[in-house]
Amino acid sequence: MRRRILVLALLVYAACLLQSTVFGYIEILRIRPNLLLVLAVTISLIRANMEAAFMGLVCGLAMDTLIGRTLGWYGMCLFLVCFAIGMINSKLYKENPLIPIFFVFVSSLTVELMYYFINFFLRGYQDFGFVLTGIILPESLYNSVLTLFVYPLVLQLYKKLDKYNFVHTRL
Amino acid sequence: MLGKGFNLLRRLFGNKLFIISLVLVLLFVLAAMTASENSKLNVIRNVISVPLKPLQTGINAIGGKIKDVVNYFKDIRTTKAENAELKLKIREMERELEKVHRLEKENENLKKLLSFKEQYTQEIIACNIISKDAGNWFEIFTIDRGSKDGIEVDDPVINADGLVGRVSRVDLLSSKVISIIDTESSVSARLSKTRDLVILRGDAQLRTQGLCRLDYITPDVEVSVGDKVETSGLNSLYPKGIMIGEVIQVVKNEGQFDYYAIVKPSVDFRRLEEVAVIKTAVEGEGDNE
Amino acid sequence: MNAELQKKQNFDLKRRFIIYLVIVMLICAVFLRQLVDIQIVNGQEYLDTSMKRIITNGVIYANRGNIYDRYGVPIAGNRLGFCVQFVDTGLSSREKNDLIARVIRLFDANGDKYSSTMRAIFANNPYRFLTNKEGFIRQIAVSDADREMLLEADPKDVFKYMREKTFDIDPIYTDEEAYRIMELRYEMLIRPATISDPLVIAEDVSIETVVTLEERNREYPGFSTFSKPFREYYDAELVAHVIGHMGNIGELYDEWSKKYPELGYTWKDMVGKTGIERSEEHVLRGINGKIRKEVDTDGRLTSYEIVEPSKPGQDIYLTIDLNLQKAALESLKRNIEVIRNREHKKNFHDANAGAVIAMDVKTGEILAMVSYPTYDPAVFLEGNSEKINYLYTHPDSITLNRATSGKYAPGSTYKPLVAIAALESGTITPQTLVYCPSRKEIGGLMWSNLEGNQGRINLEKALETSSNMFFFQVGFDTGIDNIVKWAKNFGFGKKTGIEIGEEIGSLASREFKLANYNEGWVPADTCNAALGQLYNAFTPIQLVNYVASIANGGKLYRPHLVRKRVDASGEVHLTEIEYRESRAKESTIKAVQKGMVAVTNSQDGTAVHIFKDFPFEVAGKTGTAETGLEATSSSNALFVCYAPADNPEIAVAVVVEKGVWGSWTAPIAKDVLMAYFNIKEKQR
Repeated sequence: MRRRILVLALLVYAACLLQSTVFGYIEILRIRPNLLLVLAVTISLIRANMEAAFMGLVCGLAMDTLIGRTLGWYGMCLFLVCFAIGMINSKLYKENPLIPIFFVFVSSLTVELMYYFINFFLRGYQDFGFVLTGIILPESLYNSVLTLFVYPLVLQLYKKLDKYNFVHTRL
Repeated sequence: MLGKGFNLLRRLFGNKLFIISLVLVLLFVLAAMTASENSKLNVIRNVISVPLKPLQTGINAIGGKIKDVVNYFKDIRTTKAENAELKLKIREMERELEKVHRLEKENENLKKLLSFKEQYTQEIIACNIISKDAGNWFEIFTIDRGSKDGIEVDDPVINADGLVGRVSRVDLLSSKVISIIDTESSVSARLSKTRDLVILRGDAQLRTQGLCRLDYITPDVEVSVGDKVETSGLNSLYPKGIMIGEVIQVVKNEGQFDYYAIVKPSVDFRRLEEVAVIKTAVEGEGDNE
Repeated sequence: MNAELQKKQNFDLKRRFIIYLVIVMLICAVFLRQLVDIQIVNGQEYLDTSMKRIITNGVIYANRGNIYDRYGVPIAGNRLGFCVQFVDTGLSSREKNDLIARVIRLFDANGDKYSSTMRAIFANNPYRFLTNKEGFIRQIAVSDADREMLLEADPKDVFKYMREKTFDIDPIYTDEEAYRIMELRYEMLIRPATISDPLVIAEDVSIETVVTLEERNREYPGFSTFSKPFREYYDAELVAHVIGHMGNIGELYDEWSKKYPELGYTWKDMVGKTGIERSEEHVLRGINGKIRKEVDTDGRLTSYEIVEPSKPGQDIYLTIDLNLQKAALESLKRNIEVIRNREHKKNFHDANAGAVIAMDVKTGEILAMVSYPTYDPAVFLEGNSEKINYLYTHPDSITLNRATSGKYAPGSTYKPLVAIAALESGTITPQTLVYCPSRKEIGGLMWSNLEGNQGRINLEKALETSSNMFFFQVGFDTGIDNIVKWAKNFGFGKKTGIEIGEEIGSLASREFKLANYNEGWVPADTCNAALGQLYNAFTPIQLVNYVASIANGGKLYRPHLVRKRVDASGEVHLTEIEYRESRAKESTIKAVQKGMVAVTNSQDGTAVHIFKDFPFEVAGKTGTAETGLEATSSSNALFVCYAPADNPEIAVAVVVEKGVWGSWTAPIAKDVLMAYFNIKEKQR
């Protein structure tokens, strides 16, 4: 259990590092994929709902600190989305590679839209059309592509973790 | 009584709904507390950003190298492709490429030699960019120097090509820089040729192309494409004579009295690696933090 | 039993859950409320600025048309000016005060002025109400009870109340500082300061202020700058009365917004208030364009696109020749000084004002129009109320355009008109000799001839010597009705039709006397009227128009100041030359012309010594008009003329208030003619 938390913390930390450095070099059209979001969603596809939710929370808070706005909004959005995924993931056929891609796309869309509407509500952001087509949609697509690489890695990692830790802990 | 309370607590924590709503409430509180820019709670950020910093710097250094290599191969590949089509042009291209490399090297050497210091009399601090444009929406980046190094809010930021922007927030070990293409930015500028005063502003639309708007050009001033723009120093945060960029388009709207021009900054905001902060603070002031 | 317990437990759980949910929601609501406060009201997250995309509509100010003289020398144009506007970002009262104090400090440092409605209502040093006390108190009172109390209160206490209650100004500020903070707070109180309708708090500020507000916009939340064209005059003091001046639209708003809805007037606009600026306002103004602005929460423009470009106003080319205008003004000024210092028993040394008009007799174009004393119309642009007040309250009526609105008895300059009436009515012929002794009884009164016993003289001699007796007699014989008929034919008693504001004046007639004095006409009145006295009061523009029509053989052109208008596309609209016939016979005009030539050329002419070595033959007529105040002040002096006598081109009318003798003003006309022919010579 302790080991598991440590590994997950390191995982998030590494994702933060990648997100703020290497990913700067793979921007397309000034759009950068969101590794933390992809990570949180893939984990919640594998794990049960509470663990999923807390991974979402942690990744979301990390996004908040990286992006440097108010702390908590991404955390909240990702927390809720991951919890929801964690609720239904047992019913999914996870071996189909399209499933994670689809979920990452939908979750990216949902999280960014929630984030947008929080800002819309609190500060009166406008020009929804531009934000949707210029930022949210391309980023979601990019995230989906990223899933192709992240999902197998996360799957592997969890298999290894489970091997060392046979007790299936439910939070 | 105690046992009952403990029981209740345990039952409550066993309840997912309770946990979720508790987390939500805590997040609300967190957001409310950190919403204000001056909030002390922003120190929480340091938990993640401080340990991240040395690794970020390292990776970025490696990343820069890798990018150079990738770019190099990219260049070679295009040269070859064009070679297949235009055999005559390839020599020219290669010569050009050599020249570029030579100039690059020369430039780098000169930069090291000068280290900006001869250009500006104020003290300057060389900084690396540790995270650029996190999130996709802002022309804002973080540098690896902070209040510990004497950096203060509103200090001008430059690089070898010209004006980059100004410091907008200072943390202990890092600072946020807001670039001149951000809409928040205005710079008192001057047309190098005619010496006329103008105001350079970030524009919400031009920003996405890395360009700025040059406002308040009086009708009797003739501006043409290619005219250079520099800081005026007049009553300004920015010292006089820093290169800003050049005019790439003059927009005269029919019926409008004054007109504006579109300026391409001499700094390339897509490939920004090291910058320098011009210290405006009096010696020793920054160390009090 | 078990099932029942289960049910009960379930119910308990449900109830507890609901209570719990309500509590959670309440807590959320409390924090949400605080969030809204912080993020909407006090949000200073500059990082997010670029996303605060608020779209509003704005205007691009149209360029007001330039004004040039007839040769294209600029008189009025535009220059770029900067304004400061404010958008209420929801700061607390105290925060606002501190912010304003900083902005005022910034204005002071750069010598900029801000607008203040309050200063005109509630002044300080000492505190006092200037106007509209009740309205002001209604605005600043926090409650109805306070209002009642304040209406009775001492102004000093009103200030104290505003300081403490209305605006809550920190005691660290001095009373003077507090008053100035209040000026801007009051502005924010009475006018909206929203993103879609920002409050303009300062116009035409320095570039230093703009730079500070722009670069340090984070330190001045809610303040932003914009540019617009401002009127600018060049040498406008020369033509002040012709171009007039600008001012706030004020009471003209209703009229103009109704008359020209397409021009989109608002309450804040500066418009032409007098002169060409006013008469050509609808042409000069142009139509403001529309833009779609993208602004941040401080009202700073972050991007914009043009929805409808503005249409600049048309440029106006006046008929005025600026060189001639300058010569006329300088001569008038100089000669008023000369007249004032001349020794004569009738001179009270009080000449102080006058007017000169030069007109092209073949078109009606006004080549020069001078009114003295003159002023700088830029004073009205600055909006300096002290200087404006000085102009308005000056005893010499500086802003009055004497050339079109000064009403003067024409005196002897009316004699050619009486001669025309006499000739046309057949009372006399050019050859008729009239006995002019030094004293004679006409119409029941004894009249004396200023020129002494002249024996039997004809019309030419009568005009040459300006014989009073001749015109007493001939005027009396012609009769007032004939004189009035011909006076009207020559444009007296009606508007000349010039673009700018003009007075009608008055014409001595039976109707006028009846209407204004409720008295019948007596025969002796005709004698007085024939000498251009009694109720006769004409404007210099009427006089010059009448002289020009004598010069051109009887055509009354519509005098005009606008030669052409050029719109933005370069299309030229020339002013049409209009005229009307006076219906005087050629022989009549010829006879009068001959008399007027004699005034400046024959031995006994009243102005002969002035024009004796003039290169062209000039035809003129002097006039000395009694004002009825001869015991304490000098008579008004007039001179009208045209030249060259054989082929007239230009007519000139000169009036000097309290100028003593008509002939004393002839040198002014001579200077104008000289300048006119010199300029013409140079152009050739």
